Amino acid sequence: MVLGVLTGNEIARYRRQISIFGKNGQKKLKKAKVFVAGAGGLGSVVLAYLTAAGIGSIRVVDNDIVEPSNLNRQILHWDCDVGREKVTSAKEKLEKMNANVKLEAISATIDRDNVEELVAGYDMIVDAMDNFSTRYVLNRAALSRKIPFFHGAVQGFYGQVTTIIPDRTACLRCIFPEAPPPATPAVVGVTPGVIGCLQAGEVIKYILGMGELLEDRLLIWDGLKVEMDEIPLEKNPHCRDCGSQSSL
Amino acid sequence: MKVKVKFFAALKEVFGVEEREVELGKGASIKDLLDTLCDSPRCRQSVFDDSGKLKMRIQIMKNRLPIQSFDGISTRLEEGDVISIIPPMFAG
Ligand SMILES: [Zn+2]
Repeated sequence: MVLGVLTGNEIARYRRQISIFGKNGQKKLKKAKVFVAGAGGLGSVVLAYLTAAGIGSIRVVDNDIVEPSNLNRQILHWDCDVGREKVTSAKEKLEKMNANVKLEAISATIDRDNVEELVAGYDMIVDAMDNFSTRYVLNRAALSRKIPFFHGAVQGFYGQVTTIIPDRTACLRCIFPEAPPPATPAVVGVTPGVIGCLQAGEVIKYILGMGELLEDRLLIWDGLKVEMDEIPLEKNPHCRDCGSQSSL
Repeated sequence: MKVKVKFFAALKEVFGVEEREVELGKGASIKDLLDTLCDSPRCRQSVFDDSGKLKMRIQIMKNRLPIQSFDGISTRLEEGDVISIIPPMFAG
Protein backbone atom coordinates (compact mmCIF):
# COMPACT_ATOMS: atom_id res chain seq x y z
CA MET A 1 0.00 0.00 0.00
CA VAL A 2 1.47 3.33 -1.05
CA LEU A 3 0.11 6.27 0.88
CA GLY A 4 -1.24 9.13 -1.16
CA VAL A 5 -1.48 7.10 -4.37
CA LEU A 6 -4.54 5.15 -5.44
CA THR A 7 -4.03 1.84 -7.24
CA GLY A 8 -6.21 0.77 -10.15
CA ASN A 9 -7.89 -1.71 -7.84
CA GLU A 10 -8.71 1.06 -5.36
CA ILE A 11 -10.06 3.40 -8.03
CA ALA A 12 -12.34 0.59 -9.22
CA ARG A 13 -13.63 -0.39 -5.81
CA TYR A 14 -14.27 3.16 -4.57
CA ARG A 15 -15.73 4.41 -7.89
CA ARG A 16 -19.20 5.13 -6.47
CA GLN A 17 -17.83 7.39 -3.76
CA ILE A 18 -15.00 8.90 -5.80
CA SER A 19 -17.82 10.26 -7.95
CA ILE A 20 -18.89 12.26 -4.87
CA PHE A 21 -15.61 13.52 -3.44
CA GLY A 22 -13.05 12.78 -6.12
CA LYS A 23 -9.74 10.95 -6.04
CA ASN A 24 -8.37 13.60 -3.73
CA GLY A 25 -11.10 12.76 -1.21
CA GLN A 26 -10.30 9.08 -1.50
CA LYS A 27 -6.63 9.85 -0.95
CA LYS A 28 -7.55 11.72 2.22
CA LEU A 29 -9.38 8.64 3.48
CA LYS A 30 -6.38 6.51 2.58
CA LYS A 31 -4.01 8.78 4.51
CA ALA A 32 -6.24 8.83 7.60
CA LYS A 33 -5.35 6.91 10.75
CA VAL A 34 -8.37 6.09 12.87
CA PHE A 35 -8.32 4.66 16.38
CA VAL A 36 -11.41 2.61 17.23
CA ALA A 37 -11.93 1.89 20.93
CA GLY A 38 -14.04 -1.24 21.17
CA ALA A 39 -14.88 -4.13 18.85
CA GLY A 40 -18.38 -4.81 20.16
CA GLY A 41 -21.75 -3.66 18.85
CA LEU A 42 -20.77 -0.13 17.83
CA GLY A 43 -17.22 -1.18 16.97
CA SER A 44 -18.39 -3.89 14.56
CA VAL A 45 -20.38 -1.37 12.55
CA VAL A 46 -17.88 1.48 12.72
CA LEU A 47 -15.02 -0.83 11.70
CA ALA A 48 -16.96 -2.44 8.87
CA TYR A 49 -17.97 0.87 7.29
CA LEU A 50 -14.60 2.55 7.77
CA THR A 51 -12.89 -0.48 6.26
CA ALA A 52 -15.29 -0.57 3.32
CA ALA A 53 -14.78 3.18 2.79
CA GLY A 54 -11.03 2.71 2.47
CA ILE A 55 -9.61 4.36 5.57
CA GLY A 56 -5.85 3.80 5.28
CA SER A 57 -4.98 2.70 8.78
CA ILE A 58 -7.23 1.50 11.56
CA ARG A 59 -6.19 0.42 15.03
CA VAL A 60 -8.80 -1.39 17.10
CA VAL A 61 -8.40 -2.09 20.80
CA ASP A 62 -10.68 -4.29 22.91
CA ASN A 63 -10.03 -6.57 25.87
CA ASP A 64 -12.94 -8.92 25.43
CA ILE A 65 -13.59 -12.50 24.33
CA VAL A 66 -16.57 -13.25 22.09
CA GLU A 67 -19.51 -14.65 24.06
CA PRO A 68 -22.77 -16.12 22.72
CA SER A 69 -24.73 -13.18 24.16
CA ASN A 70 -22.73 -10.77 21.95
CA LEU A 71 -23.91 -12.28 18.71
CA ASN A 72 -27.28 -10.49 18.43
CA ARG A 73 -25.53 -7.19 17.73
CA GLN A 74 -21.76 -7.55 17.33
CA ILE A 75 -21.97 -8.46 13.69
CA LEU A 76 -18.25 -8.94 13.05
CA HIS A 77 -18.35 -11.92 15.43
CA TRP A 78 -20.01 -15.14 14.38
CA ASP A 79 -20.90 -18.53 15.92
CA CYS A 80 -17.44 -19.85 15.05
CA ASP A 81 -15.77 -17.01 16.99
CA VAL A 82 -17.19 -17.74 20.46
CA GLY A 83 -14.24 -17.94 22.86
CA ARG A 84 -11.86 -15.98 20.57
CA GLU A 85 -10.48 -12.49 21.17
CA LYS A 86 -12.83 -9.91 19.67
CA VAL A 87 -10.00 -7.98 18.04
CA THR A 88 -8.66 -11.11 16.32
CA SER A 89 -12.12 -12.06 15.10
CA ALA A 90 -12.74 -8.51 13.87
CA LYS A 91 -9.39 -8.17 12.10
CA GLU A 92 -9.88 -11.45 10.27
CA LYS A 93 -13.25 -10.36 8.82
CA LEU A 94 -12.11 -6.84 7.99
CA GLU A 95 -8.99 -8.00 6.14
CA LYS A 96 -11.15 -10.23 3.99
CA MET A 97 -13.50 -7.31 3.41
CA ASN A 98 -10.80 -4.93 2.17
CA ALA A 99 -7.15 -5.92 1.94
CA ASN A 100 -6.20 -2.31 1.11
CA VAL A 101 -6.74 -1.25 4.70
CA LYS A 102 -3.92 -1.57 7.22
CA LEU A 103 -5.54 -3.05 10.31
CA GLU A 104 -3.93 -3.36 13.67
CA ALA A 105 -5.68 -5.29 16.41
CA ILE A 106 -4.61 -4.95 20.04
CA SER A 107 -6.17 -7.02 22.79
CA ALA A 108 -5.87 -4.74 25.81
CA THR A 109 -7.86 -2.87 28.42
CA ILE A 110 -7.64 0.86 27.73
CA ASP A 111 -6.73 2.75 30.89
CA ARG A 112 -5.11 5.98 32.03
CA ASP A 113 -1.65 4.42 31.96
CA ASN A 114 -1.66 3.03 28.43
CA VAL A 115 -4.05 5.31 26.56
CA GLU A 116 -1.45 7.83 25.36
CA GLU A 117 0.71 5.08 23.93
CA LEU A 118 -2.26 3.33 22.32
CA VAL A 119 -3.61 6.38 20.51
CA ALA A 120 -0.21 7.90 19.62
CA GLY A 121 0.06 8.59 15.91
CA TYR A 122 -3.68 8.39 15.28
CA ASP A 123 -5.70 11.30 13.90
CA MET A 124 -8.96 10.66 15.71
CA ILE A 125 -10.66 8.38 18.25
CA VAL A 126 -13.96 6.62 17.77
CA ASP A 127 -15.79 5.78 20.99
CA ALA A 128 -17.26 2.31 20.62
CA MET A 129 -16.90 1.49 24.32
CA ASP A 130 -19.47 -0.04 26.62
CA ASN A 131 -18.72 1.98 29.77
CA PHE A 132 -18.22 5.58 30.79
CA SER A 133 -15.04 5.18 32.81
CA THR A 134 -13.10 4.19 29.68
CA ARG A 135 -14.93 6.86 27.68
CA TYR A 136 -13.63 9.52 30.10
CA VAL A 137 -10.07 8.17 29.67
CA LEU A 138 -10.43 8.44 25.90
CA ASN A 139 -12.05 11.89 26.19
CA ARG A 140 -9.02 13.17 28.08
CA ALA A 141 -6.62 11.56 25.61
CA ALA A 142 -8.46 13.21 22.72
CA LEU A 143 -8.38 16.58 24.52
CA SER A 144 -4.69 16.35 25.37
CA ARG A 145 -3.76 15.37 21.80
CA LYS A 146 -6.31 17.81 20.33
CA ILE A 147 -7.84 15.19 18.08
CA PRO A 148 -11.56 14.62 17.49
CA PHE A 149 -13.52 12.14 19.56
CA PHE A 150 -16.61 10.57 18.04
CA HIS A 151 -18.96 9.54 20.86
CA GLY A 152 -21.70 6.95 20.55
CA ALA A 153 -23.70 4.93 23.07
CA VAL A 154 -26.78 2.74 22.92
CA GLN A 155 -29.51 1.33 25.13
CA GLY A 156 -32.37 -0.85 23.93
CA PHE A 157 -33.89 0.82 20.89
CA TYR A 158 -32.25 4.17 21.75
CA GLY A 159 -28.87 5.66 21.03
CA GLN A 160 -26.89 8.90 21.18
CA VAL A 161 -24.10 10.40 19.09
CA THR A 162 -22.03 13.55 19.20
CA THR A 163 -18.78 14.75 17.67
CA ILE A 164 -16.28 16.33 20.01
CA ILE A 165 -13.63 18.67 18.62
CA PRO A 166 -11.13 19.84 21.27
CA ASP A 167 -11.08 23.61 21.91
CA ARG A 168 -14.21 24.02 19.78
CA THR A 169 -17.03 21.94 21.26
CA ALA A 170 -18.28 20.56 24.53
CA CYS A 171 -16.27 17.52 25.57
CA LEU A 172 -17.82 14.30 26.87
CA ARG A 173 -17.38 15.49 30.48
CA CYS A 174 -19.07 18.81 29.71
CA ILE A 175 -22.17 16.88 28.64
CA PHE A 176 -22.04 13.96 31.08
CA PRO A 177 -20.16 15.01 34.22
CA GLU A 178 -20.91 11.71 35.97
CA ALA A 179 -20.94 8.13 34.73
CA PRO A 180 -24.19 6.22 34.99
CA PRO A 181 -23.79 3.29 37.40
CA PRO A 182 -22.80 0.05 35.66
CA ALA A 183 -25.56 -2.33 34.62
CA THR A 184 -25.96 -5.10 32.10
CA PRO A 185 -27.24 -3.29 29.06
CA ALA A 186 -30.10 -4.48 26.91
CA VAL A 187 -29.50 -3.73 23.25
CA VAL A 188 -31.34 -4.58 20.06
CA GLY A 189 -28.77 -5.22 17.33
CA VAL A 190 -30.12 -2.65 14.92
CA THR A 191 -29.47 0.18 17.41
CA PRO A 192 -25.65 -0.01 17.27
CA GLY A 193 -26.21 -0.46 13.53
CA VAL A 194 -27.80 2.98 13.33
CA ILE A 195 -25.49 4.70 15.82
CA GLY A 196 -22.29 3.08 14.51
CA CYS A 197 -23.19 4.19 10.97
CA LEU A 198 -23.75 7.75 12.16
CA GLN A 199 -20.34 7.71 13.88
CA ALA A 200 -18.62 6.29 10.80
CA GLY A 201 -20.35 8.95 8.69
CA GLU A 202 -19.03 11.67 11.00
CA VAL A 203 -15.49 10.26 10.72
CA ILE A 204 -15.67 10.20 6.93
CA LYS A 205 -17.09 13.75 6.73
CA TYR A 206 -14.47 15.02 9.16
CA ILE A 207 -11.64 13.57 7.06
CA LEU A 208 -13.12 14.92 3.85
CA GLY A 209 -14.12 18.28 5.34
CA MET A 210 -17.63 17.83 3.95
CA GLY A 211 -21.04 18.75 5.31
CA GLU A 212 -21.80 19.63 8.92
CA LEU A 213 -20.67 17.61 11.89
CA LEU A 214 -22.56 16.89 15.11
CA GLU A 215 -20.56 19.60 16.86
CA ASP A 216 -22.18 20.78 20.09
CA ARG A 217 -25.18 18.67 19.16
CA LEU A 218 -26.21 15.56 21.05
CA LEU A 219 -28.30 13.52 18.63
CA ILE A 220 -30.68 11.08 20.26
CA TRP A 221 -32.11 8.25 18.19
CA ASP A 222 -35.47 6.78 19.13
CA GLY A 223 -35.78 3.53 17.22
CA LEU A 224 -39.25 2.81 18.57
CA LYS A 225 -40.77 6.03 17.30
CA VAL A 226 -38.25 6.30 14.45
CA GLU A 227 -37.32 9.84 15.47
CA MET A 228 -34.08 11.74 15.81
CA ASP A 229 -33.99 14.50 18.39
CA GLU A 230 -31.19 16.89 19.20
CA ILE A 231 -30.00 18.69 22.29
CA PRO A 232 -27.81 21.77 21.68
CA LEU A 233 -24.65 21.75 23.79
CA GLU A 234 -21.92 24.13 24.84
CA LYS A 235 -18.51 23.91 26.42
CA ASN A 236 -18.74 24.11 30.20
CA PRO A 237 -16.12 26.68 31.31
CA HIS A 238 -15.78 24.83 34.62
CA CYS A 239 -15.45 21.37 33.05
CA ARG A 240 -12.90 19.34 34.97
CA ASP A 241 -11.56 17.81 31.72
CA CYS A 242 -11.54 20.70 29.24
CA GLY A 243 -12.24 23.79 31.38
CA SER A 244 -9.65 26.37 32.37
CA GLN A 245 -9.12 24.54 35.70
CA SER A 246 -8.41 21.21 34.06
CA SER A 247 -5.01 19.62 34.60
CA LEU A 248 -4.44 18.99 30.91
CA MET B 1 -42.79 31.78 34.84
CA LYS B 2 -42.83 29.24 32.07
CA VAL B 3 -40.18 26.68 31.17
CA LYS B 4 -40.15 24.12 28.40
CA VAL B 5 -39.41 20.48 29.22
CA LYS B 6 -38.24 17.97 26.62
CA PHE B 7 -38.23 14.24 27.25
CA PHE B 8 -35.90 11.93 25.34
CA ALA B 9 -35.76 8.25 24.36
CA ALA B 10 -37.71 5.99 26.75
CA LEU B 11 -38.82 8.95 28.90
CA LYS B 12 -41.06 10.24 26.10
CA GLU B 13 -43.18 7.14 26.55
CA VAL B 14 -43.07 7.23 30.37
CA PHE B 15 -44.25 10.85 30.50
CA GLY B 16 -46.59 10.44 27.55
CA VAL B 17 -45.33 13.57 25.77
CA GLU B 18 -42.22 14.68 23.92
CA GLU B 19 -42.29 18.18 25.32
CA ARG B 20 -44.51 20.39 27.42
CA GLU B 21 -44.55 23.83 28.94
CA VAL B 22 -44.73 24.06 32.70
CA GLU B 23 -45.84 27.07 34.73
CA LEU B 24 -43.84 27.45 37.95
CA GLY B 25 -43.56 30.01 40.71
CA LYS B 26 -40.71 32.50 40.61
CA GLY B 27 -37.47 31.02 41.96
CA ALA B 28 -38.55 27.43 41.36
CA SER B 29 -35.80 24.80 41.09
CA ILE B 30 -35.23 21.69 39.01
CA LYS B 31 -36.54 19.73 42.02
CA ASP B 32 -39.78 21.74 41.98
CA LEU B 33 -40.09 21.13 38.28
CA LEU B 34 -39.58 17.38 38.67
CA ASP B 35 -42.15 17.25 41.48
CA THR B 36 -44.62 18.95 39.18
CA LEU B 37 -43.81 16.64 36.28
CA CYS B 38 -43.94 13.40 38.27
CA ASP B 39 -47.69 13.21 38.72
CA SER B 40 -47.84 9.42 38.62
CA PRO B 41 -45.93 6.69 40.51
CA ARG B 42 -44.50 5.45 37.20
CA CYS B 43 -43.09 8.87 36.32
CA ARG B 44 -41.76 9.32 39.86
CA GLN B 45 -40.03 5.92 39.81
CA SER B 46 -38.36 6.70 36.51
CA VAL B 47 -36.73 9.85 37.91
CA PHE B 48 -36.29 9.34 41.68
CA ASP B 49 -34.88 6.40 43.64
CA ASP B 50 -36.55 4.92 46.75
CA SER B 51 -35.00 7.52 49.03
CA GLY B 52 -36.41 10.35 46.91
CA LYS B 53 -33.04 11.30 45.37
CA LEU B 54 -32.59 11.92 41.67
CA LYS B 55 -31.51 8.72 39.99
CA MET B 56 -27.89 8.90 38.90
CA ARG B 57 -29.01 7.33 35.69
CA ILE B 58 -30.95 10.41 34.60
CA GLN B 59 -29.18 13.30 32.89
CA ILE B 60 -30.84 16.69 33.05
CA MET B 61 -29.72 19.63 30.93
CA LYS B 62 -30.66 23.25 31.57
CA ASN B 63 -30.45 24.74 28.12
CA ARG B 64 -27.03 23.65 26.83
CA LEU B 65 -25.38 22.50 30.05
CA PRO B 66 -25.95 19.68 32.55
CA ILE B 67 -27.46 20.71 35.90
CA GLN B 68 -24.31 19.46 37.64
CA SER B 69 -22.56 22.52 36.27
CA PHE B 70 -25.03 24.71 38.21
CA ASP B 71 -26.49 23.60 41.56
CA GLY B 72 -27.66 20.14 40.57
CA ILE B 73 -31.24 19.47 41.51
CA SER B 74 -31.40 22.80 43.39
CA THR B 75 -30.57 24.74 40.21
CA ARG B 76 -32.89 27.74 39.92
CA LEU B 77 -34.96 28.00 36.79
CA GLU B 78 -35.53 31.09 34.73
CA GLU B 79 -38.28 32.12 32.38
CA GLY B 80 -37.83 30.48 29.00
CA ASP B 81 -35.39 27.77 30.11
CA VAL B 82 -35.42 24.57 28.10
CA ILE B 83 -34.93 21.53 30.30
CA SER B 84 -33.94 18.24 28.64
CA ILE B 85 -34.37 14.99 30.53
CA ILE B 86 -32.38 12.07 29.13
CA PRO B 87 -32.24 8.47 30.29
CA PRO B 88 -28.76 6.91 30.45
CA MET B 89 -27.20 5.23 27.46
CA PHE B 90 -23.83 3.64 27.95
CA ALA B 91 -23.69 0.36 26.05
CA GLY B 92 -21.57 -0.13 22.98
ZN1 LIG C 1 -15.43 19.52 28.93
